Amino acid sequence: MSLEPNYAPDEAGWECGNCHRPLEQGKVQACYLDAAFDVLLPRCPVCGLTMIPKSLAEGKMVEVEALVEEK
Amino acid sequence: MTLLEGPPPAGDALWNRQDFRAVAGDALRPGGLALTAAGVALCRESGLGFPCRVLDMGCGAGATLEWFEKQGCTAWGLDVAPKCDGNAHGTIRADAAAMPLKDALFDLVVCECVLSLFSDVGTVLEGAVRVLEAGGMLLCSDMYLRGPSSPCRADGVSCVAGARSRDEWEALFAGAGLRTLHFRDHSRELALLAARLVWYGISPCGETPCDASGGRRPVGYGLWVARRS
Repeated sequence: MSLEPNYAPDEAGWECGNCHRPLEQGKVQACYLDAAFDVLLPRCPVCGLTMIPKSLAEGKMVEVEALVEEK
Repeated sequence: MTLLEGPPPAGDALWNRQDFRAVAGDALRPGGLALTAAGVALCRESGLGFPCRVLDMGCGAGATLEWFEKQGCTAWGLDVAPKCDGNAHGTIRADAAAMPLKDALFDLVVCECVLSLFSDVGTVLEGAVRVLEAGGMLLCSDMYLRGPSSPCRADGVSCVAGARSRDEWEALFAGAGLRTLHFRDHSRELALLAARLVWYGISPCGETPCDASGGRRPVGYGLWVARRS
């Protein structure tokens, strides 16, 4: 059962600064303290450089970090 | 073993939801089987013979039963709606509040995130103690209130609602004839599970995801080992 959230770029048209390839949605694992969370994020199909959209960084990531850190 | 019809399971309870099981795993509770193993280690430090005869109250999908069987134990599970899939696990469909088993059958009774679902915990604990041999042990992990106590709201669906203070839990154990030997705080495991639920957008029991970590109530997760007096 696939549950991972899918976060597209906040704005279209992003490409990898190293490989100059358009970013594609791909499954990556975000690790924080001892916890790992799967997510679909825009990443370079060549070098794997992954972009974290601002909306994710300031939204769900903040919420989850607070929960993991509070106890 | 007698098979009894228990009350109907809570269909929309968190542990019955496929999305929750995908996130929490078949152990269906904070800490998973690692916490079970930690609790058993405490029991053994306190003199529990091992392998042993164990009853898992609220066995659900049978992950704990399987773990005990792998350790060489004779394991039985009790649940109003066991979800073990036709394998070798011994499961009894029954209500823990109406314990159908004979006295003194087990060395260890395990209650993992189960007691908080009952409003009449005293009756459930009396049944657990009755099926324990003299000197047998209870291994319990459950939600507990870390701050000022507030009335228990156990509703049979949400374990958060049925959280009690540590003192209240231990008074219930004592009332049933159990002497608490160990307590360990495992609230971090609860926080990690809550974080996973938030991340994957799963709302427990129709409430906001944060309520899995206590939300408006300061809820932690505790592990107790108690011995039948």
